[in-house]
Amino acid sequence: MTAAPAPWAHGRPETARFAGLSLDRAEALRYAGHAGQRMDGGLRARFDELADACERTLRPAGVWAVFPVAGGSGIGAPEAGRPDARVELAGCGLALPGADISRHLEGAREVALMACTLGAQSERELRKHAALGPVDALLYGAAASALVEAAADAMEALVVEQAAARGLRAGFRYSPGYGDLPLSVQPALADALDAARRIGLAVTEAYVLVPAKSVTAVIGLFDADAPAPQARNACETCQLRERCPLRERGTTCHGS
Amino acid sequence: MAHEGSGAFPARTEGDLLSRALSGEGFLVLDGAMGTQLQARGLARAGAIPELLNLTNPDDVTAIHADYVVAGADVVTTNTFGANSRKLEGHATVAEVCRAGAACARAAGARYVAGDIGPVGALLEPLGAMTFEEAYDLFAEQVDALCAAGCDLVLIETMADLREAKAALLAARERCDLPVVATMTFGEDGRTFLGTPPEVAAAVLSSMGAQAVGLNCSLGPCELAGAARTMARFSRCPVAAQPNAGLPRVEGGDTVYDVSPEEFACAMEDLLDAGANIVGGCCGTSPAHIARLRQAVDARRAPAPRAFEPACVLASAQEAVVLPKGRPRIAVIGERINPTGKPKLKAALRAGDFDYLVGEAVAQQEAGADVLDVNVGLPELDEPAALRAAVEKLAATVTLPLVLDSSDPAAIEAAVRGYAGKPLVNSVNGKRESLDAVLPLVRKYGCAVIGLTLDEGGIPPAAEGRFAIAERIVRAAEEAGVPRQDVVIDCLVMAAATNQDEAREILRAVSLVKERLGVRTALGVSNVSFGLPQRPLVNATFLAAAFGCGLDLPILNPLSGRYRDTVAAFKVLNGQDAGAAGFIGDYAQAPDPYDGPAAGDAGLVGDAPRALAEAASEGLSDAVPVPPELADAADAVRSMAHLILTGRKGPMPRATERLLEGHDPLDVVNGVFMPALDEVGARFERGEFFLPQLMASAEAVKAGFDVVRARAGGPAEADDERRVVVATVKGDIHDIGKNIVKMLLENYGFAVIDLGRDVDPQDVLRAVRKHDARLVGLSALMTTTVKAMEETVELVHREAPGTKVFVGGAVLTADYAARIGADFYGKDAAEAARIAEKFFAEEGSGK
Repeated sequence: MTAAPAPWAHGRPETARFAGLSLDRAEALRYAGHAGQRMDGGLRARFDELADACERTLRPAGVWAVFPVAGGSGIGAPEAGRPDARVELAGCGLALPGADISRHLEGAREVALMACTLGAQSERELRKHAALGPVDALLYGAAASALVEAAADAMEALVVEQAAARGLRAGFRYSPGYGDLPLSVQPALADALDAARRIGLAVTEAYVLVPAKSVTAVIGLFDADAPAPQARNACETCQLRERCPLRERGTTCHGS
Repeated sequence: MAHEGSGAFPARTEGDLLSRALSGEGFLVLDGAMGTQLQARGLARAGAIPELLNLTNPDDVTAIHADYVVAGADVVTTNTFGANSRKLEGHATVAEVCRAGAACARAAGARYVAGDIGPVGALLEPLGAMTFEEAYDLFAEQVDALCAAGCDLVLIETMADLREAKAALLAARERCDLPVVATMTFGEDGRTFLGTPPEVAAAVLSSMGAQAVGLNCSLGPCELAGAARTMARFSRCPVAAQPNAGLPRVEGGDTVYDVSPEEFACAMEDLLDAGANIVGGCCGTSPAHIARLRQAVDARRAPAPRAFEPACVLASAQEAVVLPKGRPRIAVIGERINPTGKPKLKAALRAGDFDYLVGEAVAQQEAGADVLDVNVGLPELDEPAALRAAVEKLAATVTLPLVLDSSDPAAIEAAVRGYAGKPLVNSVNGKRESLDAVLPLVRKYGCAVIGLTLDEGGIPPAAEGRFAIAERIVRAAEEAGVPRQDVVIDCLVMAAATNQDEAREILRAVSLVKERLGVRTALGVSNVSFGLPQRPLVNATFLAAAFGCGLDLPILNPLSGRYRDTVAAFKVLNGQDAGAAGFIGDYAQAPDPYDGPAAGDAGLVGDAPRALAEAASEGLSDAVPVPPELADAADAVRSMAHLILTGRKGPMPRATERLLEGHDPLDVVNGVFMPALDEVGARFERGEFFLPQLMASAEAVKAGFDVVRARAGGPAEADDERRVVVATVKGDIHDIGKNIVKMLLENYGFAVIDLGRDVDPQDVLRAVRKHDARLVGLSALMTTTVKAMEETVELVHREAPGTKVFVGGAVLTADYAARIGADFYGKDAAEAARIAEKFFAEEGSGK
């Protein structure tokens, strides 16, 4: 057995670079609206070329940190589902408002925040492809979205692994914009991670992440013997669930 | 505006220590962190503006400064990092905060006071919404305030965006005569977050006249030593370094740093060895760090020499092309972005379609160009505005350095001012008027320049005459403050058909200029073959001869295979292609065009029958019925329909041309293009095609349309009666959906006025009025920006009654669209095209 890992350095942002990530081609095509249509060889080759370029030239980077849960109206209490519920994190001044996030983090001991991005180069490449033609722009954008998802998955896996080594069980990752967790938490979330300086991630006044191909998320960390979390079902809290074309076709954007 | 005259950069330097440091002869020790010390004193409250402490707690701020003075800092940096009007949010004026900040620094007994300027706190275009001018204005106000407050120098620091650093440096250079130190912040990958490497930062900022350039923040001294060494090689001025005390982490709500004063000073030795002579600390450093650094500096007698290598450096924000003095290195200037003789480019420029330029740029980059010439001179065009727009578009999409090619100094200045990089200005010549107009711009903006060997007397026929003008240009440049290594001489190629003797003279002039003046040389190669057959053969032969005479920067069409062959082969001969690895990689398996049958376009010709065969095998041939007008070309029609249905734009122009022979263009459009596009739309509707297939088909049709329009003699004109304004609403930058709608509308022949993304409601209204548009399309991706959509719909309806609005975007539904007052809801791009068709049909029938 290996030695027990050091306790969390709370609030210590750790940066990570993800070399050699592959993006899920089928997922990228789903983003572009693909639902099993027969694709002729030319289009498929064009997509593969753009997806290859994404993997080859972009350098995904991420940052994450763990904060203790300081309190909130919903923690471990029946109010978890109330509309004014919130989860407050210690040491960074970040509060996560919303009934859904309170329910999602109910009983969590700590919360990991994470952010990852494909960097300024992805913005330049997206602009380049937009100028070259909309088909390239759409396919490249879809490939880049799948790549940043892969980076977020890798970052989440890292958090899960680190948590497990400390006897904690990680819930699934939850991003601003899911359920009623507002996008307005983006600036404080990015600040808590020192994301501007660590990975060059900015948030505009309309709470848009720049570079656009970026993901921020929250992961609850629970005692291992706490009751099992609800099954992962990102659709359940998605604002688009009633009008999602993917669901209409019996699939989802997260691939299951 | 204080435009400085010619000569060396005039900067007021107070006292001997400062001027010795700025000439690289002595050291200057700066202070350490302010924020960390404010935090240690419990003065840094979350969300508070730290610069306001200059007004509310001047004694505390002064005490922090005083600790640094005691520790041995020669320079105290004012607590004005974020003292711009945007960040102060009206809590105090910039002048008040800067005045108080400088007073605190003075009161602490500082020998020199550096007025501190940090980033504006918002992303500049193209990544963000702030314009270069807006950033400049914020910096200008701060510079004015710091100068009026009596600072001894200006410190521009922590810049991640070279364009923003340039705005700040220009503000400082234009509005005061204080020396300026400019530093940027590099990440673990050795670049700033916007992708600028240290060599580019050093070359660009030092060429523009910063008195010292360097790096600060983000990392500790160990991690920054490499970047400091690189900067020393590329900086024309002293190098400054203010690293952090390692990487930050949050502990109990506070940010803490782990590198001790001893470790810090020890690691700074590497930076001092690299030639940094202006040193201090950034985040996490304390008076103890500075005291220990002072000891390290005092133990040295003089700054280590910088390994500066004089070179002609051309740079974009992301990459530098370096032509070192005395070492062979050729760099190809791609000449294709020039409307002369290019009707398509002309049409694109007239239409303001700068995307077309990106296509040309990318093609040249892929063909091996190192630098791109940008010329947008057309008689009817506002050249300053066009050159600027072209340069901004290219800088946002392509990483190659640019050549700004114009005979209008106003156009050069408009384009160079906001260009993040070190461009090559094309050109100046030996005429007094030209030298006087162009060289001051070259110097002020830190460019390199091409000098043409012509003057009031024309182009001298003999080599000596051309050399004499070159010599005069180089001398005038040096007198204007442009160093010799930034001058490139073009000895002007004449046609061998008309001036046969001159070909030899041109080559001799290149040799003379290279040997006697020691500057780089350029030539517009293809002029030589004018009037001769087999021009590429003549061009490539002349190119090889010119390389032999010392040509460094050939200006040519990189898409020409003949040129590429000559360049690739010569790079082996001059040693640039080390071990011939590049040549072997590209040519070992390539067929020699002189062996075997002549290469033809058999592949292309064969495409149509193949397409037809495929079409038959896939049961697609009857997807579009052959119209009676084209009955004699049934196979060609089926084959073209198949090209459209499979989205192959490549073979479309040729297929269209063939079909147009003997057929009415309208029959081709209405009998093939439109029915095929309708079929594609129907398949998309049924879910048999997905979006990229629909779009690829639309692209194929567009390629065909372009041929039809070119045949008709005019540029690609859409139906000007059916105008649609499209925009992605204020606050939203996700414009891909809008772009797809635009493309489809254009393919159906609508005139689309695209306002881009993050568009203010007032701008939409302005466009509706200007173009008298009856239909507007708006997109929004995010729940947060649907509000801006609602405002835009409301404004258009109120101020332009009768104008209808259709909306679309991921978060919208038909109900939601109706609720925000939209007239139509387009669930996808195909729907948007149907909405527009229906709208104009009804309008046309007077409904």
